[in-house]
Amino acid sequence: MDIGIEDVRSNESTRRWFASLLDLWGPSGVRPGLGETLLNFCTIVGKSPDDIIDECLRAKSGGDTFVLRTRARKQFMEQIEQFEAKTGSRDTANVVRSFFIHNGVAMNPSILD
Amino acid sequence: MEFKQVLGRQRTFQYFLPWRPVERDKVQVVLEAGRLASRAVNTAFSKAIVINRDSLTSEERDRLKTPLSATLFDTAPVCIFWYFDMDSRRVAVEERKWPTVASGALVAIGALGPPHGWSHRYVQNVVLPEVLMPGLDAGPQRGGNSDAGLAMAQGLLAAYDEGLAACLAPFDEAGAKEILHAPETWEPVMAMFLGYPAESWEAAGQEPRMPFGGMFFEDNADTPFARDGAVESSLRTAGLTQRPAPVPWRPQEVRAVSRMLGLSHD
Repeated sequence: MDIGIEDVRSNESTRRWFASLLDLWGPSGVRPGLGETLLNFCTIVGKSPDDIIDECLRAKSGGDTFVLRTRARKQFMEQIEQFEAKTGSRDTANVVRSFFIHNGVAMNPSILD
Repeated sequence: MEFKQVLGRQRTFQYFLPWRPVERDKVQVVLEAGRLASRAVNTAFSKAIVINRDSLTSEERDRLKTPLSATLFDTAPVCIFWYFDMDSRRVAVEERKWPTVASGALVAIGALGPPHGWSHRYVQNVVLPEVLMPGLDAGPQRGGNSDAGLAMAQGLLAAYDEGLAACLAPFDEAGAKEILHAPETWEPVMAMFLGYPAESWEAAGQEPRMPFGGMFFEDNADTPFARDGAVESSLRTAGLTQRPAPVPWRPQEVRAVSRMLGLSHD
């Protein structure tokens, strides 16, 4: 998959994430570099932001509500942990978790060693 | 009162001074405490109706009585009828009128947030359809609700803290529907009788309980939680653990109080 930063930013799930951050935290919530961090993760897993969220949330008939697909969520949680190990940064991995959370996919990293 | 003394005051108070009214502000304190009790998804499962005994006719009181609560209805100046509102989850989900989880208010005020995986979209797209809405089609379901009980328990402690005696007992559901106009979707929890005690604050003494190790466990259900004697001792000092029942004068007290109130004492 070949994806660039503008592709990431234009995905609906990314726009939803930024809007939710803005709504919750105000302008300071949308920090520089968030899109780039998400792009790095997307490149590693080989999927676009929208594809990632679509894998985690299966739309019910009508499309207004979703079912959380626990197996897909678990898989992405493991990939985020690997991403965290690779970057050596909890903060960086938490940016990716924030993307999932604001798209309706709960993420809870362990805070214990 | 100190908090541990309030906890230690718990008794099955059976004798109230029928002629001494309960101040309205104290009743409100009980309700305010219940309102703030912990509840799932911030939904108002608990509902309550306050009745002053003297506002009821003798016939109405009789309609509310059960064999276990008959005398209490005659002697306690105030009774709070606590209910579980079986329709509260549907109202929270469909109307989103109050600051429930379903309304998104708890995320908006920061009570729930991203550090624990909460977001508006998670609430609207996952929690609502997966957690709150399933089963609503079946309509109101009886079977009790721990959160309604918690509100009542918090009100009970507030009553003790206000210097009131209290007793929980069942009431006649059909009679309450008729007299109190309780909706069909309200399931009784308990009636809380309030008043000033005609017996001593010790009443019969602190009532016996199942041994600690038979109720509480650690690591698994086979291993009783090890009780520390030093903690037990500190709780006696703080007033949570009090003189166990029966206090030596209890039979004489019951006879005297019963004579005073015109109750059977044989």
